[in-house]
Amino acid sequence: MRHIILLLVALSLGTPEAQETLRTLVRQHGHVTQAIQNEYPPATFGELVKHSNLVARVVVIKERAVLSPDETTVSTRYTAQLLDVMHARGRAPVTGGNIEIDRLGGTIILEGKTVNVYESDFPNFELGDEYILFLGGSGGQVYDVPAGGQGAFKVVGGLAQQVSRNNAVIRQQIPQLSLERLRAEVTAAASRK
Amino acid sequence: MIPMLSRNGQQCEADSYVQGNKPYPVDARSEAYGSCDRYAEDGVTGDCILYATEQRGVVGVLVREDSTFDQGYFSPVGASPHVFDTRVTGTTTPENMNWYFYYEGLRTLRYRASFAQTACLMPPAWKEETINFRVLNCLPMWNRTTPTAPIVHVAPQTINVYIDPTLWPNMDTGIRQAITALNAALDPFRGTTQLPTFVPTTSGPCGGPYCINMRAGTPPGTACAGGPITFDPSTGAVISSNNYWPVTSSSMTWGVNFITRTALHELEHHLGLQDNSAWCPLNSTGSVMGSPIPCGATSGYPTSPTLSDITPIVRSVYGGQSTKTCPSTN
Repeated sequence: MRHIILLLVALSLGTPEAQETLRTLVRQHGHVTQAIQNEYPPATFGELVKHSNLVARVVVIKERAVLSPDETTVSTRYTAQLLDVMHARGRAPVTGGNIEIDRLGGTIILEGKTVNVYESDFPNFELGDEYILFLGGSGGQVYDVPAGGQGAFKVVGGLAQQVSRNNAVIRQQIPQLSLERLRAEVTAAASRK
Repeated sequence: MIPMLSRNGQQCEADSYVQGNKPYPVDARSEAYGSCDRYAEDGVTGDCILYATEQRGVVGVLVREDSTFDQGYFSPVGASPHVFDTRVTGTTTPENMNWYFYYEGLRTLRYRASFAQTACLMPPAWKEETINFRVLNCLPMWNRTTPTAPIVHVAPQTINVYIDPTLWPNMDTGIRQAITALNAALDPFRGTTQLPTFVPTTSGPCGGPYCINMRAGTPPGTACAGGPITFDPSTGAVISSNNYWPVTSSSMTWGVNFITRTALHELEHHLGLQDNSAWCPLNSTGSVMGSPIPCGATSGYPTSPTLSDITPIVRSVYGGQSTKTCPSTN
């Protein structure tokens, strides 16, 4: 009996686990925050366009954060109104309509505790804010942002600034771009493909 | 008293460092100052500032409060001082005095400062001072969610690094080399400062704060690798850490050096450092937390931690000085 108890104690202390779920972590620790560190390579306009099916100016109008199916992280589905299409591979969605964008990050309440997830160097989108996004993803209407914060430009006062700060090759060279300049860069990059 | 650097007026490090070799334009966020208020005597007030600008490797010394800068020189400790021709006359903030530091390391700055007397028409007094500080290639950035949030960190214990057996052999080798290099870089500071020790293991995956899982998986989008670090937002203490590596035909060709650098980068995230890319040169003397590199890049980055990677860790997070580190950049 004593051996069995020792074995159970040893197992409880040292058994390798799969990645803990957020549900497990909030039960153990209460509120948790998760920083997702993704190592995106530096991207020029050419590389951003290469990985994009759609380059568009949008305004974020709705968000819904959900626990991932394996419960190890949180992602948010954003609904955005399409203001302008700068580049599209294949059939472009209609300007004025809505598109959906999935990305990591967001805040949920799980087991009564706050779970805040953010992708480092790629702040979560803000409702009502305007962005130019380099979007990839499936052929359907749900897009993603394959280059992370490098593939998102926040538009304020008619000027666009790359959201990424730390990995921002473009931002370091051109801190703010006019929409016309950005469109020209996208058009030029697309024509070079 | 060892002067302290601060950023945006806040205390930053218990030991000074200044940043050199920064190739990027001015960004107010990364200004670094070191104050040395040591001149309050006989009614004469004044202070000086070590000033790290955004220009490449430029450090200036400002002497404020109606003072005149006489002479300044710096040198590596133990070497003969190199005297700079930096005489400046004037009464306020001679901001045009810039010194260039091209190499990381401990430096000693000696200078004279004279001060206009406030009474009796006495001739200006002067005082020679010595300041020790560290020159870093890159300005350390911390992983924190708000300016006042705690730095994400793990307690200084043995930390198992689970290496998924399904990763490519080059990944296994590179991760092991990263662990060896990081432990070796931390070793000289053990003793007075408690620091974590990383140990590779193929037993896992595992959970908890004293484990980092290096697993096969699919990072999002174009990312070369990546994954979540989960922590207690009130303390910053890591409670779970996972990093995913793509096992693809492309990643099979990645060189060991690239894997080593990337694994080092991830391990340093676990210790609290954030990417410092925008304030760090993309070269072999920069920082493993420095500029992003293309997946599989074969050169242009260090493959062992530099002073920029180690100094903030050993002086701040694990030196019992976690409240004296640089403000948030997030």
